[in-house]
Amino acid sequence: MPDDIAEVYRNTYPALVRFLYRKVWDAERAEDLAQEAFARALVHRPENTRGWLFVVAANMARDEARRAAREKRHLTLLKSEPDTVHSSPEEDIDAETRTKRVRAALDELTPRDREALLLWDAGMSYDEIAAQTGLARGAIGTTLARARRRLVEAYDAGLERGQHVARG
Amino acid sequence: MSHVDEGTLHAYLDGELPSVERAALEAHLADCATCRENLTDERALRERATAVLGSARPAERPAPPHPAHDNLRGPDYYR
Repeated sequence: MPDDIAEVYRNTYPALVRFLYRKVWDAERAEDLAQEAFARALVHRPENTRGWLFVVAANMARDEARRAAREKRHLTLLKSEPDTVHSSPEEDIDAETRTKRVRAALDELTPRDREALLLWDAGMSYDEIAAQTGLARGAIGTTLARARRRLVEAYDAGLERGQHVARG
Repeated sequence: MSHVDEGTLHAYLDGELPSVERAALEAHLADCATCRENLTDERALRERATAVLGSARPAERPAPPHPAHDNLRGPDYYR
């Protein structure tokens, strides 16, 4: 095992899982995909392992989302009964609701703004984000400012809607 | 120097502004109350966005053994 990949693995694994989680919204699946990305890195031995991993992870998450959408369409055709609602402890409901709101807020961002924000949150520098997204380095600050503003606004709007629903 | 745009303020807060631009910005901030106020607003926005995003994260678990350690991972890894 080359030392650099082992080092990247130790330093990047949690950030890569977090990045993937916010794309597939399933913690276990995010871990599986992160492991798969590292396994592919071992085979491909890319020059810039960290950057390469995030590109591969983003592609895998996109494929995963397409597959999930296809499966959902098939299930909708097959099933006539509504989804089973599982009861959960209060804190799980809260965590789940919060995650749903963050997910909905992230969906309000343009794909490029969302990608830049998630990459920054994963610990990438402006140079790395520029290389990854094709944005000019000088545009990253503006992109992140817009993404952060939109995220917070959409999240707060979701909270407000939730309160209205709870009251109504 | 006219007022500083929000992108530059975010780059500054992210520690990603090149040193020459950073020095110019800090000199401007010393003289411009509007930009200082904007910086405070953008700092609050940045913190809020980080908190919102941070509230949706998987439970942090230690990284499993590196995939190259096949013997630790089990035969079902490449499924």
